[in-house]
This record gives sequence, C-alpha cells and structure tokens, in this order.
Amino acid sequence: MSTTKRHSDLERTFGKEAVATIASSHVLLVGAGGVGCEMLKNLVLLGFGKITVLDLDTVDLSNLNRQFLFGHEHIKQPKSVVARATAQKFNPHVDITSHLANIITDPKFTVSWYKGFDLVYNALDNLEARRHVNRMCLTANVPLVESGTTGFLGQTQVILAGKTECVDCVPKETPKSFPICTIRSTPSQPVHTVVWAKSFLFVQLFGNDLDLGEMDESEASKEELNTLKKETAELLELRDVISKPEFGKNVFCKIFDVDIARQAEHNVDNGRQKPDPQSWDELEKLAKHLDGAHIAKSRAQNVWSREEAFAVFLDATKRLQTRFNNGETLEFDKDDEDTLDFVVAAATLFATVHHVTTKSKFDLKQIAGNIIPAIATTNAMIAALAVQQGVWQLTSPERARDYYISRRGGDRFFTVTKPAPPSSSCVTSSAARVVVMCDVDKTKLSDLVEWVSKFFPKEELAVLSSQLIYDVDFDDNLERTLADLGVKERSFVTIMDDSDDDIKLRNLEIYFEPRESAGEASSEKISNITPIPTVPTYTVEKPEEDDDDDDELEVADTSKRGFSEIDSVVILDEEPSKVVKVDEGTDEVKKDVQVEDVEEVVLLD
Amino acid sequence: MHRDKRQRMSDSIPSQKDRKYDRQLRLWAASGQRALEDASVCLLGSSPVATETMKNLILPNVGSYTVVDGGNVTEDDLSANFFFDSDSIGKSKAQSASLLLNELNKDSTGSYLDQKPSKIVASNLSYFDQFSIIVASVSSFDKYSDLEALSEYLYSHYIPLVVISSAGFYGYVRVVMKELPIIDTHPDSLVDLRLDSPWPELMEYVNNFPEPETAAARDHVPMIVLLLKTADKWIKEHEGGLPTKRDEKLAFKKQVEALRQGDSENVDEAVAAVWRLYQKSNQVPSQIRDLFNLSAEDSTDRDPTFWTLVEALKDFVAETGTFPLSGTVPDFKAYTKDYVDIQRVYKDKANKDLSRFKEIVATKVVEVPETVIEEFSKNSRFIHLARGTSLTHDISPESLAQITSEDDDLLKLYYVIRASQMLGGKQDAFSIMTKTNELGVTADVVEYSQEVARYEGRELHNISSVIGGVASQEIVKILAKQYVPLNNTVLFDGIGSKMEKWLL
Repeated sequence: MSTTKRHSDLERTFGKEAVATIASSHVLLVGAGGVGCEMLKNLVLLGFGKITVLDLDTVDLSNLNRQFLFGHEHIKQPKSVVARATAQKFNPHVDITSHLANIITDPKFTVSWYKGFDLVYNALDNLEARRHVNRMCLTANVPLVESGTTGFLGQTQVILAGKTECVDCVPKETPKSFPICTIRSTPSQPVHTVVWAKSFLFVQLFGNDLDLGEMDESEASKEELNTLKKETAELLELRDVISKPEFGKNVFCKIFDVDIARQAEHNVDNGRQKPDPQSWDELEKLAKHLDGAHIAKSRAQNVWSREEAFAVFLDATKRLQTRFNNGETLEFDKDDEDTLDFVVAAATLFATVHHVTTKSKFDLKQIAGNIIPAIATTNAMIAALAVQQGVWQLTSPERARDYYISRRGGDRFFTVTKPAPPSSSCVTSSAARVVVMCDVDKTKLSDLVEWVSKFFPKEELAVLSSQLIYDVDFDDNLERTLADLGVKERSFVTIMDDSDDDIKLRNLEIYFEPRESAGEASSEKISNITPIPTVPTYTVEKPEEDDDDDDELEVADTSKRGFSEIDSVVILDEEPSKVVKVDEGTDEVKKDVQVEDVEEVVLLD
Repeated sequence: MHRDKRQRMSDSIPSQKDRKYDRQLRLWAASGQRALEDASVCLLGSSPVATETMKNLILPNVGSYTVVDGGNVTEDDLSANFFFDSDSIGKSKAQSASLLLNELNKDSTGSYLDQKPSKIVASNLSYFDQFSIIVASVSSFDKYSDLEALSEYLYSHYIPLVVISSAGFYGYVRVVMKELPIIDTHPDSLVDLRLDSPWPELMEYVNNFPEPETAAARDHVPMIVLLLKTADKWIKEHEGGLPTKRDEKLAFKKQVEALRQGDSENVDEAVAAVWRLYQKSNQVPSQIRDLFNLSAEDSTDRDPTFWTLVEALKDFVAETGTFPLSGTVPDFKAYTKDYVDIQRVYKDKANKDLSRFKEIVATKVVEVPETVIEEFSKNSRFIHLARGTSLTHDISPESLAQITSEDDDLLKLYYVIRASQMLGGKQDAFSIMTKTNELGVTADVVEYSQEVARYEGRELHNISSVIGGVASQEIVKILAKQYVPLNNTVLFDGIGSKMEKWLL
C-alpha cells in the first residue's frame, strides 16, 4: 500500500506536522504479551517510523486467547521475533527490530541505549521489570507510557522525569508471605496447603535448594525451627532412593503418616482438632482401581477425594522422578502439568490431614501460579488508550492523560486524570540523576565522594550501591576502588543526605555508563555525560502519624488523588441490589462508602 | 489399539482447551465459556471498528460468526484495518476480512456473506433470527433508517443488537436489547450471615459455644459467635429488639468493643461486622420486587427458565420471608475446627433452602436443570434483568432531556454524530448542525459539527480499537449472561479524553 494514502487519512485527523513527527519517531515497546501485541499492531497502523520490540518469553498455549500475533504453530518460539514478523506484514514501511532478551539483565540496555528512543511503552507483567524500566527512563529522561491489565481492569499512565508520578510513587502490593509454623503445623486455608506443597515439599524433593520464598520464618519459635530442620534433613535422606520405585511410597509414609503422627502426639493443642495421619495400606486398597493420570486430567474442576489425591500423588511423583533422574532441573511451573499435579495432590492430602477445606485443581492452580486473569477485550482498550497517550506526548503533550479502569465495591469505573505530579515521599521520582563515565577499576571511593561534593554540598552524606559503602562514621572504604566495592558499570550508586538539617537534599543517583558505549575517553577520573543536576532540597517535616493503611489495591487508587486532577469518571458496570451497609453511627442508609468518594468527584468537576 | 489412541485424544482435548482459555475461565468460568461457544455472531460491516470488535470475540472463542459486507476492498480501506492486506484489494470485503479473522482462532468457525446489510434488511429480515447477537457498524448501512428498521425488528424479537461507530477521534457503542436476564452478576461478595435473623440451628451453635478458658481460646472465638451472643444479651435487656437508634447503636458497638482483652483480632473483626446486624435480610430489594411484578407478564420470546425461577423465588420469599441462603462465609479468626463447624452450619442451612427452592421449582411447568437452579438459588439476591430500548428511543423527549447545559456535554456530540449518520456520512458542518437541531437538540453544536464534518467518517485505528474493546467486552457479558452489561450508550472522545454513558 502507498504510504501517501495512510498519511492522508492520519493527516486529516492528527494534522500534517503530527504525522511527520510520528513517522520520524523511534519507539521502544517492552513486552510482546497481551497488551504488547495490541500495542504493536496499533503502532504499526499509526505509521511509527521505527519500532523496537523486546520480550524474553516464548509463546505458550495459554497466551493464544489474547496474544493474536501468535498461532499454535508458534508455541515455544520467541514472542519478540514472531510478533515482529506478523506485524511487519501490515506495514512494510515500518522498520521493526526485535530483541529476545531480558530488559533488566541484558548488558546492551544501558542508559545511552534508552536515550536513543523518543518514547518507551511498557507492556510488562511484573513489577520488578516495570520498576527497572521506570528508573532507566527517568535517568535517560525519555517519556514512558506505563500500562497493565488484570481481568476487566487496567490502567495506563504517562511518566515524565520530574513532572509526573512514576511507577514507585504509588506503593504496590507486595507478595504475601505466611508464618512457617502456620504453614507446617496449623494450616487453615487452602493457600497454606498450596504454599506448603509448592515452596516446601516440592523444593525439598526435586528442587535445588530450599528457598523459603513465601514462607516467613520470623515468627517461628526455636522449637518449631528445630523440628523443621529435623524433618527437612529426613526428606533430604529420602532423595537417596529417588531412582528407586519405592521413592513414592517412602515419601508418602514419611510426610503424611510418620511426621503427622508425631505432630498429633506432641501438640496437645488448645482444643484444636488433631491432624489425621494417613495409612498407606488403607489408601492403597481404596485407590486400587484409580488411574492417577486420568484423574489429574479429567477431574480438574472437582475437589479430589483423598484416595483420588493419593492416586495422583503417586502418579505425579513417578513422572517427576523420571524427569529428575534424566538430569532435568525441576522447578514448579503452573503450566508444567507434572509439577502442578504433584502440588495439587500433595496440597489436597495435606488439607485432609489437617481438616482444612480444599479446592479443585483449577482453583488451586490459580493460587499456586499467582494467575492473573487476562482477556483480549481489556487489553485492546488499554493498549489503544496507551498508544494514544504516547502519540499525544510526542505531538501535543498537554493532551496526554492517565486512564484507569478500576473496581470499587461492585462497580467498575472508567476514570481519566491529568498525570499527577510526583509524590513528594517517593525516593525514585524525587531523586536527581546524572550519568557518568568512569573507570571503576581505578577510581577510588574517595574520588567519587570528592567529585560529588562539588554539587552535593553536604559534609554528612552516605553512599549506597547494593549496600551502604560510605558515611561519616564509616570511612573504611575510602581508599578502595569502586569495582572492589561492587560498583559496576551499568549500575547505580545513590548519594544520600545524612545530615540532621531541617532543609535536606534529595537523593542523587549516579549511573555508570559503560565506557565503550559512552564514546571518547576523558582524562578525568569521573566525567559526566549528562549535565550536572541541581539537587533539589526539601524541608523535613515533623513525623506525623500515618493511619492510611489501604495498600491493597493493585490498580492505582485514583480516589487518593486531588479531585481537581480528575477529568471524568464513568461507572461502567453497576452492581444490582448492592448490599446496603447501614452505618451504625448515623442511622443513614448509604451505598458502599468508597463508591461515594468517587461519585463526589463527578459532582465537583 | 487405534481405538485406544482415540480415547486418549478425546481425554486430552478438553484439557488442552482448558489451558488455552485458562486466563479467561478465571473470570467467567466454564458456564460462561460454554455460553460463548454456543453463540453465533453476525457482524455487519468490515471497517476497522467492526473487525477489531470481532477479533476480541474470536480470540476468546465465540462459537461461530458471519461477516456481512457488500463492498470490495479499495486502497482506502487498508490504512487503518489490520484485517485487510494488499492481496485483498479488489476482492469482496466480507470474504477478505473473514479470511484473516479466521486465522485468529481455528476453534471458532467463520463464514461470510457478500451482501449489503441494507439489502438484507429490505428483503429478508428473518435472516437475522439464526444469530445470538448482531453487531452492526453504522457505516456499513446505506441509510441510517435501514439500521433503525433492523433495530425495531431485533428489539421485538429479543435478539440483542450492538451498534458500533468510529470516526476521527470519536466513537460510540449503543446496545439495543429488550431484556436480558442475568443470574450471575458477579456481585462483590455473596456473603450473607443473617445476623439480624439467625435461624434456630445457628443460635443453637452459638449458645453451645463453650466459654473460653484460656487467653488463646478467647482470641479465637469466632466473630459471628461474639456478635450473636452480644446481640442476644442486648435483646434480653432491651425488651426484644436490636438497636435501631443512633445512640443505641453506639452503645451496642461499645459492648462489642468491651470484649477486647489484649490483641483480640476477632473482636476487631466483630466490630467491623456490626453493620451486618442491621441488614434487613427479610427486605426484598426494589429491583427484585420489580422482577416479581414483571414475572406475571407473558411472552413466548422470553427466557422461560429465568422466569420460572423468578416465579419460584417469589413463592419462596412469600413462604419464608427471605431469600435462599448462599452458604458463603467470609474468612475470620477462629480455630480450624470451629471455622469448619460454622461453615457447616451455614452450608446445611443453604442446602435446606436449596432443597425447598427445588421443590417449588418442581411444581412449575418448565423443567430447569439442577445446576441452573443451584446457581440461581445462590445468587438469588443479586439476579438482574437488563431492560433496554430500541434506536428510535434516542430521539424521545426523555432521552433528549438528558442533555445538559455544559459546553462539552458529550451527549450533544452523540446527537451530532447520529445526525451526520442520518444524513449519510460525508456532509458539511452546516447540514449536520441543522439536522442535529431537527432531532430536537437546541444547544449549540457548532464546534462538534465542524469536527465531525472534518473527519468525513474516516476511522483512526487507535480509536476504533478502543471502541472495539469496549463493544466486545459488552458482547461477551451479554453472550455469557454474566456481569451487568452496558445499558445502553457509551461515547468516547479521544481528543478531550472523556467517556460518558447514558440510558437513551
């Protein structure tokens, strides 16, 4: 197709100048998943001149209900490569580059590399990568359009260094962890049994080393920890027979019979029902005619009986044993049926033992895999809105908005706001930044401190890399080289004002650009590539009591913002026959309080 | 041997499918997926907004679809459409679009009809009877009045119609449906504790709950027990009634708070749940009362299953004074044994209610599958009947009366776009303005008219994609008969970054 035709249509709506800007822009798209596929399609059809798309993942069957640039024939192929090939067909004039790479760890992606883009789109599925790209874009001073969806909900947000909120400005939910004693001896919810099966049992039997991950040891008593240690050692011994047929039986007898019997005997608990040890002989008889492999497949929607769970447990153990003995490194993966069946069966048996209600394989999979629902429809909306905001950012920045599709009570809202200013309490967005070139093998910490003091005029400052390496009371490292202290190229060092002054300096983040990508070597030990920033100051406020503990919303809580910034709110779905809460203090009947908060916004605007 | 293999295949197929659609099954479950896969969609038009909407329905696996369009692909059509490529030029639009749409998902069956929608409306309206839903892009019609005729026909035949439109920075979705009954509206929570009117078995459980002897046991008394005991005591002291006045409620809350000794997470939970005592379990929400009144009306096109269940629910409420219990209890601090026991008390009552409800349903003429009765019983307090209007209702006085005096009222824009569409697409601003006024819009619409005229009906891919996302979301809800669908018009303004919704 001729480019002129496409342009004339776009020019009619956007205007000539804007279309030229779009055509000459180079954008980075981080992620080619659900939102990423939609974005790539939109970017291509809008006529962006150059697009770089990056993803580390390969196509999986469960992607195909929404990631439309891929088909069955692409399963196990790299997303970035396939997405590029499919999208390219629709506009041969667009220059698309793909990278099969990890945005966080790949050494290619330095601040200078980010600076090569006019705009970055985030279409990621995890907070760690989001935060990384956020920080890199703030440092490179490149506009970032951040987006994400969860089921029917989603959001898109424009991020500009120093001008708007960044990813870190709104606190995000951190993964839950559970006290280890609850998990091991007093589980009361399905999630406890799943965490036990996945993060403890599975790892002990088939994994490399025990990563307590979701388990929190801090509350465990010494006695608890000793018992745990003992049982862990015994499990490790079992591994000696992992190549033998009796492995499954040995494991079962130990964890569901011997350990439980010991627990039942020792813990004369206050009125708690004692755990029930399971007898191998009894269950073997009950499960004689059961086919574990068949149950695992055909009864995914049902809660398994204990004999069904028993049959699946033995079958899955056998499957994992074979793979383990073939030298495979096993890791729990919700899409790996063998590992999933093992965890579901073990969790179900563990629940039986402890009289905990349990759930179907389908439901336990969601718990074990932290599965986030994802659908084509929401992705289409959010991706198109996000791409549009990027276009505005490049052509008429005053038009760019943030969009939220969020849920309050039973209702779903569509909210548009002007990008909020950075949060004053956010260390990421309030920091000043400078990119430097420096021979970390030769430069000493004292050189860095001296260099910094020119524009960070504080006697009492602290230097942090991955840990504290200098402050006024800790000057032992001054004569060591930066490399020696773990400061590498492509990493950040943070300078903090450590004084007790009333007016303090914000943090300063120094990024060490690798020398080869930074161009000519300088005679200075440390030379800045970006201008030396003016580090902003702030007045230390008297600590106030913060009773705002509402940190559970995944989708940013728009109601916390000032009313004036919200442009419009629309209720998409209204819950019928809402449960009416009667406030005992006022005699008044009112709808869910939170909903009212948002509705007021409409009235004020 | 051969047979054996086939057997195994058939086993693994559903599991494969479950995995492919796993991320959406988490939202609308197997029942919603089944409804989606049983559905057939008729797509009128193949412009970007039409194909984007269809894409989002094929991906989650709508059963079948037919693309209807009478034109041929020109170079103009390629610029914003992902489902035409340079090979499509000169060929039938319906055929070309369905060809590329088919590639999205082989599980979904696509076909096409190379025919103008207006022609079918004129000659063969009953063609549409075979579909579960009609998705109509306004630009695919020769005349807007043809779309109105279709709307009238479908409305009276209880077939949902979703009208979609996108031009320049503006787009809208207008849902036309007479009524759509929904059993599972996905309310925030199904928890119903009945603390205001505990049944005998629940009170028996509470009364027999042993006095805690240790501090640990005291911290594990379930909040339901704490609240009902405190309420029982209050009723005895206050001649038979729960607190009703403000000072009484505050006094009651103090009594609950007074149970606190030490950490007492369970007391915190009880305090937070005090409001549940004042819920009126025997009150019928007004929406359900409306349904009870409606159920007497008769029509052969109505969903007989739903209305039979509504009749049965009406009888159940008349008999017991309240709804069948859902049986769902929230998580709360308790020893596992006590938690399981309380769960059982609620489950038993829910099962008892369900059995009675089933008995009542059995007395009705229409036979209803057990699983549907169970779902209805559990959700009975939250069932919903969406009732909409036909397109002609847009220009009724009550619809027009919703226009406000705000300069940037998007409803004015809706009428401007509708006027331009009634004029047949490309028109000058003055004609559009005049037509808008003729519709009964008295407000100033100069700017909107100029903007709409400027676009000449051209679609921007991005805006069409937003509208396609919104429309397909509503269509999935309608087909799955879950959640509450849009009723009935939403408009998006991509320049002003605004969205508004109205019941027209």
